[in-house]
Amino acid sequence: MSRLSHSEVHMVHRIGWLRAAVLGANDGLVSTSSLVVGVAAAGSGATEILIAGFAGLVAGAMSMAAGEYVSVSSQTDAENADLARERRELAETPEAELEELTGSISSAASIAISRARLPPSLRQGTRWPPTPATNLASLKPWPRGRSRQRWCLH
Amino acid sequence: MSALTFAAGAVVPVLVAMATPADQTSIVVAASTIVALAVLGGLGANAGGAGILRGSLRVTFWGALAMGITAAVGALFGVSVG
Repeated sequence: MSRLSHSEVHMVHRIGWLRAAVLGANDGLVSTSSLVVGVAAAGSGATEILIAGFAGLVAGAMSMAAGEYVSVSSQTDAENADLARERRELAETPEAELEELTGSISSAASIAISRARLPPSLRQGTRWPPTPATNLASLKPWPRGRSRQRWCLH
Repeated sequence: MSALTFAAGAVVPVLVAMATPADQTSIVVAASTIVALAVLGGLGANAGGAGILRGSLRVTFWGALAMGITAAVGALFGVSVG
């Protein structure tokens, strides 16, 4: 089936900018109007109220821009530093890096061995080697009464 | 992005404060902000494809709470200073 015949609309790709936009607009509304209302409630005149509101607007917008820049660059710096560290380790100690990658396989094997050593009463439900669920008929829902129906192997 | 939308959001209370006399500023600014927050919550939820009512209620509730606390602090200062 071609991709054109299946046009599904998802909004998740918007999450990044939507989050930033909603955060900014909400912050602008709440902080500026809180400032204005607070200054007005203290019994200030119209000029003072306006100065407070305008100062809040300018300060907040600049702070937002600076905060966004600083947070994004610190994330980029941390990612680059991590990449550089991995590159250095690969160049200097390739054996340790290989062990890092293959170590996960041997730890999975050791979990399987420790499971096999369990007494039979505790071993119930653990099969080794595990059989893949190739038969869809073996998939059965949880019994009724659960808050969410989940699928599990029986 | 958030700097631009911050300015766009902040323009609302500043313009409203400019248009109203000083003795009514608190109430009018608070009311217009709550309306603007409800619209913002609805827009945000709609852009994300989620329920409009839920998003707009959430934004309105927390915004109203923040303004209420700030107004109380302002009133406290007004009483102690004046």
